[in-house]
Amino acid sequence: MSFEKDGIKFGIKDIGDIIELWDKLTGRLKAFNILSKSVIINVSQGTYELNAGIEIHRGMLFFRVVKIPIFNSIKTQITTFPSFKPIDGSIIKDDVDGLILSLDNIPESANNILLSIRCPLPNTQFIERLIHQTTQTEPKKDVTSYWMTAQFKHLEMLRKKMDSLNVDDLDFAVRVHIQQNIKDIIPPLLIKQLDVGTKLLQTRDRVQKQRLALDHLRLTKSTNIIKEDEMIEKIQDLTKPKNFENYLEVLGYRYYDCMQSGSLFHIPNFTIPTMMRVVTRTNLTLEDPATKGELRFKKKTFENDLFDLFPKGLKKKKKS
Amino acid sequence: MPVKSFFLPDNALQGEEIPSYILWKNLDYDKILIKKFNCCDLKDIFNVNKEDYSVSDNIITINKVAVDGYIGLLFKTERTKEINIKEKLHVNFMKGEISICDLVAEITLFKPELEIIKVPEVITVNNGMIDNKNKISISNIGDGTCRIVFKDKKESEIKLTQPKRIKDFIEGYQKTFNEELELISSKYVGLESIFEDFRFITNKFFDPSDEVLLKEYKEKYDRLEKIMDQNEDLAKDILRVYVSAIFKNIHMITVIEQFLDYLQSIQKNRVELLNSLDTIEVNKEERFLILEIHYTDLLNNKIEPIILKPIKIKSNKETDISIYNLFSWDGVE
Repeated sequence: MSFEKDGIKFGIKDIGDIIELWDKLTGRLKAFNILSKSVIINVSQGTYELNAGIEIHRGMLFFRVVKIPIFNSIKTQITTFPSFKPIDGSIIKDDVDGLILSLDNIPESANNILLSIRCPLPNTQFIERLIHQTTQTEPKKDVTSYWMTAQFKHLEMLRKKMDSLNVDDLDFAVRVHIQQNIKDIIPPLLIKQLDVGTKLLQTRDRVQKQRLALDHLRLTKSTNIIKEDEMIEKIQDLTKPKNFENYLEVLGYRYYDCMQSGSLFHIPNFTIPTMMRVVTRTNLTLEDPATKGELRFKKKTFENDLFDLFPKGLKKKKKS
Repeated sequence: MPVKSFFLPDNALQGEEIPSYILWKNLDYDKILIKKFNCCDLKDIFNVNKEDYSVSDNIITINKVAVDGYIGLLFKTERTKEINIKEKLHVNFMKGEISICDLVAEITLFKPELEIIKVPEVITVNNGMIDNKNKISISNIGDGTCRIVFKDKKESEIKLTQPKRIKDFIEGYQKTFNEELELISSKYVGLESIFEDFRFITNKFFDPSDEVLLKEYKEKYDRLEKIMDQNEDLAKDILRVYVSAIFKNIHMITVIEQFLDYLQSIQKNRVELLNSLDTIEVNKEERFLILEIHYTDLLNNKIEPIILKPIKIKSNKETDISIYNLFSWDGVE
């Protein structure tokens, strides 16, 4: 979006620009007494909303129409306050002037109104300039939870210029590494069987082929896993987001979503994910300018469920 | 309680940025002293103006916070010689010379570390198999993940090669990935440089031995991770491109072979092998293999490579063996 500053239009790049926009608006709303100013940023929707509680000074006839140079609003609304009845036609979009607020269309009985303007967030760096977010890369071996934090970088200007600021649905993506947990549970005999099976398919040497075929048959009898691809599918099922959710617990923040993910550093893999990308969410306010969250991976439950997929007798020692 | 919250993570990878914050209410103080740990630098401080704090040795002195009730801190840690370090962060709210509120939190900073346990002078291959006792024994004695790439030394008589079917698969995957990426790129105006980064990461093989490349990789990868975390649509589109590129080239490599690679590419104690399916050709003639082990952690920190002493390899017949077969990661001799 853009608005005028000293006659030049410029774009919103950070919260400071929103504050300036507020000041600009305050200057224009001379016919009104601004009672409250708040901003709600919704990160997941990619929007910010300016809300102003306004007391109308009917006597100032010169300022009955206010031009607000906001050109990309998604939704604007004026409601009476405190009854919250929408006042239709009191604010309209205009190609030349942005938004036009007309006092003529506001009933005489409405002394207090709530002006609300919703706009798209300008770019992804907007949030980065406002808030510092961190998620843990990987925990220690004996730990199965990942920490996350969010904190405002600057508070002073925000507190001075706004009555409230809410940042809603701040996303955190944590990469939960599961490859080691899967590998540790897969019976070594099955790995051997897969290895011999793969070699059997690749070799052209007849003698070698016969020997590998016998080995494969012997291993298949030992593992009792005839359909290897079905076993792979069962493991895949455990990592489907709907199932994997059961192995997650979020403290402090809210669970939002998870998806299978892989390492870009390795040969592309489509069978089983090496990690799960888990998204959690939190809100920040001026009253709570920093928050912490914890994502717990229920490793033992996951490993036990994986363990139960294999025929009895083939299993490694069960995890307690 | 005047202090509502004091946060410092209890564990983190060495080299990671460590966030910390304190929230308080109704504290009558005139100065805050923070004693930070040795192996870190203060990278950023939130809600304190530049002129209102100073750092001397390991003490951060805060004379005034911008809005009372909150301080945010960000520390930059370095990879150290120690595998695990326990450090404490002390915070004192001072009134004159008296500390009216003391806070302490402890953090363990860990790192992965490879230790060579045994390198045999001779490895004997029998019908493509190597006895476990005859393998190179290496162990990750640290806590984080080791990401390893094997390379042959120039003087090595035996050379490492990527199997043709894997090579074809990767080439096919890269081609499709680039094409599919092109199709979605028009949806994301202004993110052209991000798509360049995706192309770079997809088309260049990750190599911890190349310091310049590693740095470039790290920068681009961090940027991509950040943008994917912030942009859910982009993250989902990229995942679709990734899956599509794999499935269009699936005929070159079987599901079982992929699963086997999945299993072989992770070894005990968080050891990730990036080229585990690379092979060496062995035959009846006894020849030397000189291997270099290049590795990094999940933050792509530069770590000195390990160069193994020359190993004689002999086989009862001519065959190709995958590199992972030469190693045992159990930590036993």
